[in-house]
Amino acid sequence: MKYIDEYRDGHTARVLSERIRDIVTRPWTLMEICGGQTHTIVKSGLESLLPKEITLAHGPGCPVCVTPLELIDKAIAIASRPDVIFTSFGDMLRVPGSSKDLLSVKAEGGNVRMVYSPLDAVKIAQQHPDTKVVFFAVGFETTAPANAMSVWQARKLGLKNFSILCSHVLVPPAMEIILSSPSNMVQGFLAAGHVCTVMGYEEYIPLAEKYKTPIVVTGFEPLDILQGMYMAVKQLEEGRYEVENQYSRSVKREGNVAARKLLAEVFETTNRKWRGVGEIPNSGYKLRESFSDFDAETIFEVAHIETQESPLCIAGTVLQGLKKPHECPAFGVQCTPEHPLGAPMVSSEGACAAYYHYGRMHAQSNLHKAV
Amino acid sequence: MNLISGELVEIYIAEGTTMGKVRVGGAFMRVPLTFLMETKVGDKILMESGVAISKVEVENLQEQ
Ligand code: SF4
Repeated sequence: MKYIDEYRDGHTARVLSERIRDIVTRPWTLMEICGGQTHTIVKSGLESLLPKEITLAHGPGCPVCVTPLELIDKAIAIASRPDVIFTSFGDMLRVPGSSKDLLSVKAEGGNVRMVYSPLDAVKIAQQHPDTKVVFFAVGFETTAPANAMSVWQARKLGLKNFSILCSHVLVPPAMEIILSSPSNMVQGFLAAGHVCTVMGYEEYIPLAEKYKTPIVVTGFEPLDILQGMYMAVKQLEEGRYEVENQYSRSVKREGNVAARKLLAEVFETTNRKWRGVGEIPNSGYKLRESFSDFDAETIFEVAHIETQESPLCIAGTVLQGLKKPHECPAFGVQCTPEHPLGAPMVSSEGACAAYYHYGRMHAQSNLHKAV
Repeated sequence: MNLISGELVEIYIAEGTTMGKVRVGGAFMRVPLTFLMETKVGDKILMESGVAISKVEVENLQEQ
């Protein structure tokens, strides 16, 4: 496809990896933030193209993976009600809660539907005025504009039967938690290009300065990622720590101003629990008081539900880049995509699932196959 | 929850909302252009969760 194949070319990938090899003089650890980038790295075998000095850590940027267990349990409690149509992105349906997943609720007779957009859920609410329609609003800043638009539209349409179960998470506070940890190993970040299409990259500038860490806004194709790595390594070798934009074909410094305006109108920041990581201050969105009529957590009185994570799963360590998925004792044994113990094995963007499907720890680039 | 890219082939108004018909491979999607009002037919755009969020500026990777 035009403008995509250009970013998967095997020859250019090797040229870029040579450029990294030419400038690197010492070991560096880089972290890609987003699960989509992790998927590309593992699927394309990019690590095998890198010089041995470069270590990649896979970050917490898979929204399915960081949605806390108790929120899945809240979703299950709401979806099990006979007066509810529960709508969600497909990825969330298979994430295990403490005792079952949303697909099991559907199999038991619950009205659980997969949608591609929260706006589809608004349409369902229009078509079923006597049923409460709930949308499971998870994700990073990239999905937030669509979710904000759904609530805004529902209010414009005067719908009283639409609400969202909201667990939005924000990238910069998670990066700060990683950078401020005493065990931090990350020396340079590839920031998630898609998140920055919405939010821009101004909020990364104080982070780069405070922690003296280069941050390169990076796209999702193999060549984007290699070029992002080159830019980060170049900064590290030159002793610079700036925010640079590799993904300039889609990201502007200020992001999408219209989307940010609606986000500010509908949401406010809140402390948010990240699965496996714990609570991070101001790391999520919740609905503003003026939109509280659309807050499923209040409407269905599920705010009190609290659950404990499985002790076998070390997702928190994996999501902070401190361990690789295959270093988890349960990887591929008790935990597989068919029987996931933790969320990173469920989503295709989860580091554990990506390693299971493509990585298998073999250091061989298969970029030529992607062309 | 991955972004989808496509080419904007038509802009129209439906129920007071500016919408875009977008060619994605061999199929078409219809998405609100509320966050991308400056876009025009022929532009390549990125969509997330059924909403257009970014325009792709065509440029050459080698020049970056
Ligand atoms: S392999 Fe499974 S159990 Fe281990 S960290 Fe990943 S999701 Fe958790």
